[in-house]
Amino acid sequence: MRRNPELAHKIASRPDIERLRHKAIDMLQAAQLISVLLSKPMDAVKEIEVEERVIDMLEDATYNFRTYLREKLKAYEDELIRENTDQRETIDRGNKLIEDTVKLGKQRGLSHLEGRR
Amino acid sequence: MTRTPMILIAEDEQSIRDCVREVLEMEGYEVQTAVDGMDAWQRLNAQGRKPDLLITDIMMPNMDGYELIERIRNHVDLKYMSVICFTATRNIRSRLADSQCIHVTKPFDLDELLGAIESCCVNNNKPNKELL
Repeated sequence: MRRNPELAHKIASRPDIERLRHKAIDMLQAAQLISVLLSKPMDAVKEIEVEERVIDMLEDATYNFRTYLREKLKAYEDELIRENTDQRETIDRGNKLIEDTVKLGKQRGLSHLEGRR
Repeated sequence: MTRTPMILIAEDEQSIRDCVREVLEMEGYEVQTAVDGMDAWQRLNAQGRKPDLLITDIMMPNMDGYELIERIRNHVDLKYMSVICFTATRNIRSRLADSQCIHVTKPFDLDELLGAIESCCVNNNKPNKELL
């Protein structure tokens, strides 16, 4: 599939996409820090304490990111539905206008308008 | 006797905030944390010892890093405070060009952050040493 650079730029510069990008960078950053943290030399008691905390952090981070993505996807879905509804209403209004025009044409004996339908 | 430097971390992402705090405490620093710019601003204005260094994210709810840094630079007691800011884009760097901050780009290497902190703490100690 060929990429459309204009569309790609338009999507990438949307504020919500920008926020999503920052969130993804934060997740990457957290993973890097956790990895460094676990590689630090420490005594056994401290290690268990840190590991437990790190597991909590990872669970929280994953949960938060999933929730964030779910919310974003839901918002996109709602937006698409709204846009589709708007388009459907416009098409319906257009069709109704054509039908009314044809009816009016017939009433006035201008049957040639029917050909435009 | 030199006192332990105190660092305030303003970061809305809890996992980063907790990890950085953990690492800095291991390195021997005294650490406070804030969940966003507003929380950091309130802590900076609270009674008691002021942090020697602020590490702040830019994109935060309630008050972002831009506003927090601007308020600090306009505050009579805080304007010379060392600030390290986490940046993710060039736009942010150019907007903070005159803010006298050290920029650390996310995702950053821990050694890079520790190096920046060390240079800030060394600079902070200079005036105190001259007074002795």
